[in-house]
Order: sequence, then structure tokens, then C-alpha cells
Amino acid sequence: MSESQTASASPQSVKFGLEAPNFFTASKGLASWLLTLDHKRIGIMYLIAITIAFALGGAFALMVRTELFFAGPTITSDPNQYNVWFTVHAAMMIFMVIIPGVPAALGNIILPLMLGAKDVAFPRLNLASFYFWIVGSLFLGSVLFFGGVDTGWTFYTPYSIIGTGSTMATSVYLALFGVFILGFSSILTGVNFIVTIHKLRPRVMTWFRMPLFLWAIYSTAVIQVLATPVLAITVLLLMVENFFGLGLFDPALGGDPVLFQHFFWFYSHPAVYIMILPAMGIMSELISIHSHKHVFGYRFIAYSSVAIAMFGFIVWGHHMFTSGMSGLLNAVFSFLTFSVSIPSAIKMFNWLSTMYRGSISINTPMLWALGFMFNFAIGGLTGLFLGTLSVDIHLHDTYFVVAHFHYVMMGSALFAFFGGVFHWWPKFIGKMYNEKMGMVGATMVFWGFNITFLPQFIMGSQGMPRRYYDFDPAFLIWHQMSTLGSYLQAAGFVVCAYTLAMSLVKGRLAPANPWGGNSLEWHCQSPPILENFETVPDVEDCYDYTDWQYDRELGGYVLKG
Amino acid sequence: MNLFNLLQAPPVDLQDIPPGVRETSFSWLPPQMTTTAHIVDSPFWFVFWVCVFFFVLIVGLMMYFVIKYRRRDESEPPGEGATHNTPLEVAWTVIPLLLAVVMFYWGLDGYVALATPPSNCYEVNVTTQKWSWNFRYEGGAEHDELHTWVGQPVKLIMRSQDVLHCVDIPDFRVKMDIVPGRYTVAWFETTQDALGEHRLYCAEYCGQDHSSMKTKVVVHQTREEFEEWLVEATTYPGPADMPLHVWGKQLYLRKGCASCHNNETEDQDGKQGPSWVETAKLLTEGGMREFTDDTSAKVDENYINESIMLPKKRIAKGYEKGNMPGNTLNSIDRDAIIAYIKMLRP
Repeated sequence: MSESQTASASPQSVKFGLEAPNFFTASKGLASWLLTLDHKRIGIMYLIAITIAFALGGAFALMVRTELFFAGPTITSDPNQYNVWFTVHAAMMIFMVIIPGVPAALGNIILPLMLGAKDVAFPRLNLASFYFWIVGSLFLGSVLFFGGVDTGWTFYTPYSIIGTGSTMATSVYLALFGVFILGFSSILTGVNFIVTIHKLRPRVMTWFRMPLFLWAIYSTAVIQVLATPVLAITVLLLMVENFFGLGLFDPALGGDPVLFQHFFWFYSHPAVYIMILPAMGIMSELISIHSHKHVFGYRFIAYSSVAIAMFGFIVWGHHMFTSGMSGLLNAVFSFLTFSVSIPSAIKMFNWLSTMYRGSISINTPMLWALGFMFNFAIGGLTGLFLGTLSVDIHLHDTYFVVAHFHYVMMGSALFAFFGGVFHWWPKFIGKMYNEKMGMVGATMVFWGFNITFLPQFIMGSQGMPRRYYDFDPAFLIWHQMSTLGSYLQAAGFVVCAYTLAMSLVKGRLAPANPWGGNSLEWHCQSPPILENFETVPDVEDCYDYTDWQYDRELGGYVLKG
Repeated sequence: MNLFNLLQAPPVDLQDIPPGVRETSFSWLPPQMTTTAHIVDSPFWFVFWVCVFFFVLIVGLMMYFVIKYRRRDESEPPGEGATHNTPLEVAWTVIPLLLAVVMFYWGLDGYVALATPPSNCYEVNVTTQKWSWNFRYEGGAEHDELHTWVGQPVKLIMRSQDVLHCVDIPDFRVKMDIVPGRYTVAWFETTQDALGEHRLYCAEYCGQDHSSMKTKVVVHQTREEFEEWLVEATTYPGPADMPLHVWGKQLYLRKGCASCHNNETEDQDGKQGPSWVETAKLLTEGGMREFTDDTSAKVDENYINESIMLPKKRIAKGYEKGNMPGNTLNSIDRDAIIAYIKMLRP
């Protein structure tokens, strides 16, 4: 990376990007990072920031699980503290980690590379989104200095209306304002990606030749642009309600708490797809490239992304089956909810068919991808219980729901995210990591995750309500398994972080194409030069791997001939 | 300390565990104690086995492919095969769709039954506030436990005094939010097996003591036994039968005052409202109470009376977090509360 290294590069090692000019060496100094317009640098700053937020959110998760190791007080005797922990854990993980995780962080780095573009369409807007994220996160994080928020991440009224419920007035404002700003970060990224995909594709890349990751990111961006403003409006209305007492949501003033729930879930259900769709996009890349086989059923996968984005808008009511909403609405939302399960099923079967007769490498990214398949099978299928109206009456607001959405958001969305990080790490960092250690980390997280959340399905079915500081001793054994599992997960993540950190220090230099992929990002140097490509190759089918062959000396793939 | 010791729960007083959860044998779902429980459980098991089938199919195929088609050497050529197969893909679109329609219909059909109380219900009015339950029976008797008898359809007509709550009786498969500003309804009809006690939780997050906002459902054998209990449990001696302050203490315990007001020491003791001991001190010393609008008032009988009747008119400084519901105490009861507070003077 240093200049002396570049200068003394032998002709042979010029193959490795880190020894040639690249976007790391393009300019130097802190300002060149903080004020950069380069999508790769912005993406890396996002990754660092999100990692910090993930560690914080994870710490709160561990505190929640530790508190539940015994019934009654374990590490705090104040239930309000516990309530703050689970609220902050959820708010941070959702708004600061998962929503920006794949689109803003990985998407920023990969999307222009996949398009063969120099950058996103609006680089300044891109940097602005990043700083919106920072400011929003500072507001949301600042609640910790004001006693924390205890409303749950859903901010349900009238509890979140100051003076009626929450014991933590100041920090509710701060948290709401933080979420408001984070929403803008999300909207701006979405606008940017939509325009980029429309305008900056190379001539040969028609819509149906785009990598499936781009279909997923595109569908996600549409949801971000259309749904997030509703969150902004909701949060704004709640703040206005708090300041001026308009009587929108507060029954004491003639408002309706159920109205708030409609507003809230009108954003927050599509937000689930903001989290899972890009993860599915990563999956389509990972499964095909590491199975060394053309992706199966390209069009069905692409259309299913669009279908999920559309159906995702009209199913919000399934969060409210016991809210007192009318029976007719319940029936309609139940029906629509089942419709959204179909595109997910299509994707699963297409990924399986991609693996069929493939040549499947078992490496770190693929382990994360297989973990996704396992977890998403559970997370997706258990959604069927909750969509079935009568069954939901029993399972609603129990640990069954907690387990279900963790299987989707963590076991699926975050697993794909980590798979993506390990998959593209050699591309944007220019170093390989220790494959064995990466696999150990992924395996530990996989087992830890399942030991944490499988018992929660059982105790949920048995009737354990969620958001409980204390519980009936009958559930003790499941809570203890769950807590021990969470420690294993944490240890796994430490191993993963160590693996990546060590690769910076002593990883071998990465070739341009370590896995044998054929989408455009594997045609440019690792790490790319500032402008990404000197010339953009014409790639007609990015899932056709037959032109590449393995070069043992290089440790990566080179084009034949 | 070895790990095994660490895993042992602190000793639990068996008296504290409701009988419904005391069984040691494992079961996925709680016992079926109502005539409608099977409406939840049958589709549950249908969905369960569909899920097991697809999970085994997906993960089984995945594992099989990973082993059978594993890449033995990086120089192997890429895998070959069809890039799509429209009939096959249509098949795995349509088959899940059909299963989904079955699940939807089954769930809806059951839901209609669960949401439609029969006409011969015994009605119980449920009032919730942070963090207590109040059940008012026909005839007006009130109690903090839900009692009923075997075979009787019971309709709960519920309202909340403050924030969202949710009635949750796992053994009965009953769950319904309780929403301030409107009535919501739930119903159940117990079976013969239901004789005895069952857990009743609050399932909608409501703050500090959400997890201790629980009570029990007691199912009697016959209506006569139920009526007997009702008379015995809800016939209190009235204010005429005892000194006024003793009646005041009864009200303190029964009307939910105890959730937010400490009656032992001058500090709040983790509760949200002012300690009554402190109030008693101010009352007898002629102390002042400062309000959030920077006015103040002498703590006297008028102040306490106003605080009970119009709790949100003026909020005492330092107690902004409190949330006292407007009350319906009659004048004798208010006298009794004031008498009780005076007795608490340190």
C-alpha cells in the first residue's frame, strides 16, 4: 500500500492491485477520507461505523440475555433498565445496522463496480447520506446519556406520549429525531441507487443482464424512497403530538393508538424487506459464484425481488391481528401476507437448483450462504404460523415472534451481509483472510445463533410473552440455553473480526478474481483504482463462468487465452 | 463454582408457580382448556408439518448437493446444467400458493369463531391500568382475579385506563389488546379439564412492571361454587364497619394506589408517584407542593382531593413521569384516603 512498495514492485507482482496504484493510494490524509466522494471510501467508512453500532447493539443484546439467565433480578433489579436495553438493542440494530448494512455499506462499494461505472450517479449526495447517518446515529446514541429510551423500538402510543407512559421524556424526543434523520440517509441512498442503475449501466448490460444483486438493490431502493417518508411523517406526528397535544394518537385527547400502529407499520413492514431483499441479492451472487454454476431461473429470481417489494407494501396489518382492528381487515391482511411468502419460496428453490450439479466450494462466504439457507428456511416457514389468523392469536407477542424475526433479520439478513463482506473483502481491501479461521467464525456464529433462537420458538409456543423482565420458572431451561447460545455467537463474531483484522496485517495479496466470478467487479483490479476500470469489458452473461480458469501461482482466476 | 451449579435456578417457592405450568413433561403447546383451543391448535399442527416437510426438503437437498457436488479442485470446470426450467419454476410457485390458500382459509375460518362470542355469555368487565387487573362481575363485585366455572362461555369487555395492555391466557388461546379509548372483546368457554388455576399475562408492553402484570384465572366446578366465591371474596365490610383510616388502607391496596405510591418510607422507593408518607409529613407540617407550571399549593385536604379527582390538572415537580388515572372514588372513600394518609405521618 505504501509508495515504496509500489515503486519496488516486481513485474510479476503487478498482478496484485495493492502493489499498483489503487483507490487507497489515490490520495492521503484524514480529510481525503472524510470529504471523499469516492463510493468505495464512503462504503468503507459506512462499514466501520456500522461495525461500531453492531458492537454496541450486540452488547445490549448480551445484557438482555444475561438478565434473563435467571427468573427475577440477575444483573439489574430495575426493570426499567432492562426495558431500556431491549429498546436500544432493537433501535440500533434496525435503524443503524441492518437497514444501512447491505444497501449503504456493501451496496456503495459494489454497485458501481458491478455496473462498470466510475461512481454512483450523485457522489456528493452519497457523502451527504453518510453524514445524515452519522448525525442520526449520534442523536439515537445520545439517549444513553439521558437515561435511555424504554418505549420499545415501535414507539407505540400512548406509552411513547410523554406524561402518559414512558419514564424517559427527553430521550424519546432524541430517539425520534435520530430515527427521522436516519430515515433521510436511507431515502437519499435509495434515490442515488435508482438513478445510478437507470443511467450508468454499460451499453451491453440490459435490465435482464444485470447481476441479481442489482435487481435486489433496485427493488430495495424503491421501497426506501416510497416507504421511508411515511416513517418520517409518523415520527414527526408523534413529536408534534408530544409538543402540542393535537390528539392524533392520545386517547385522552380523542386520538386513536391503533392509528399510530397503522402509520408505524406502513413503513416498518416494508422496512423488513429493505433489510431482507438486498440480503437475498447477495445470496444469488454467493450461491452461483461459489457453486461455480450459472444461476438458475434468473428471471424468476429478478421478478420475485420486484414482487416482494410490491407485496411488502400491503401486508403491514399482520402486525396488528390482536390490536382491535376489524375482523375484515384482519382477513384481508392475512390473505395478502401469504402472497408475500411465494416469491421467497421461489428464490429458495432457485438457489437450490443453482447448487444442483454445481461444483461447490466450501469457503467462508459459502458457509455464511448455507447458514442463510438453513436459517431462512426456518425464519420464512415460521412466518406461515404467524400469517395464519387463528394461530397468530396464540403466538402474537410471544417469544415465537421474537425467534421468527431474529431468524429473518439476523439469521438471514445479517448472515448474508457477513457472507457479502467475506465475499467482496479481497476485492475492496486487496488482501485475503485466513480461510480456516473465517470458517471457524462462521460456524460458531451459526451454532450460537441457532442455540439462541430455537429454544425461543418452544417457549413462545408454550406462551412466554415477549419484552418480559421476569418470567415463570417453567421457562427457565429455554432461557438459559438461549443465553448460552448468545455467548457462543458473541465469541464467533470476535473470531470473525479477528480474522478480518489479521488479514489487514498479514493476509496474502488478493488476486483480481479469487472466486471465479464473472460479474464486472471481478474484471477490475483488487482493490480497484480510483476510477474503478480503465476499460469496461463487454460481459453479456455475468453468470457464465466458462471463460475463467484457475491460476495456481496467482491463487485466483484468470481469463482463458 | 462449577458450571452445573451455575445452571441451577435459585430455589423457587412452588407456591408461586401457577399449576398450569407446573407439569414437567414437555409439550409444544399449553394444555387445551377451552372448547376453542383446538381451533388454534389444528392449523398450528398442519402448518407445523408442512414446515417440517419443506425444511427437511430444503436443508436435506442443500446438504446432499454440498456433499455430492463439492469442488475437489479449483481447476475443475464450472458446473453445467439448465439455466432455467419454466414448468418446474411454475410448479414451485403454484404448489406453495395452494398450500398458502389452505392455511389462509383454515386460519380465517377459525378466527371467525374465535372472534364471535356466543349470545349466552357471562359478561365480565375488565379494566386495566399500569400494572394491575380489575375484573368486575355481574352485580358489580370487583376482584383482581378472573373467576369462572366449567362450561360457561365468558365474554371479557375490556378497557384500559392508561396505555395499551393485552389479555393473554395461553391455556385458553385467548389474546386481545386492551386499547385506551375503546372497548375490545375476548371470549372463551372452558372445558371440564380446565378446573383449577391458569396463567393470565399482560402481553402488550406497558413499561416498568409489564412482566409482573399477571394474575390467575380460576375455574370453579359449578356456578354455585363460583357464586359462593364471589360473595365471599368481594363482600368487604364497608366504611361504616371500621375506622375511616382502616377503610382508607383497604382502598390503597385494592384500587391500585399501591402501584405508584410508597406507604412505608418518605422516598419514592422506585415507584412513580409521591410517597404518601412524605405527603403525610407535608400535610401535618403545612408544607408546600411545587408544580411544573411554577405555581405551588399548600398540601391540605383540598389539595389531596383535587389530586384524586383531577390528577393531571397540576403535576408536582419531580413527578413528571407519573401517570395517575382519573378516579371514581366517592366522597366517603376520599375522606378515608385522606384519613389514611394522615395516619402515615412519620
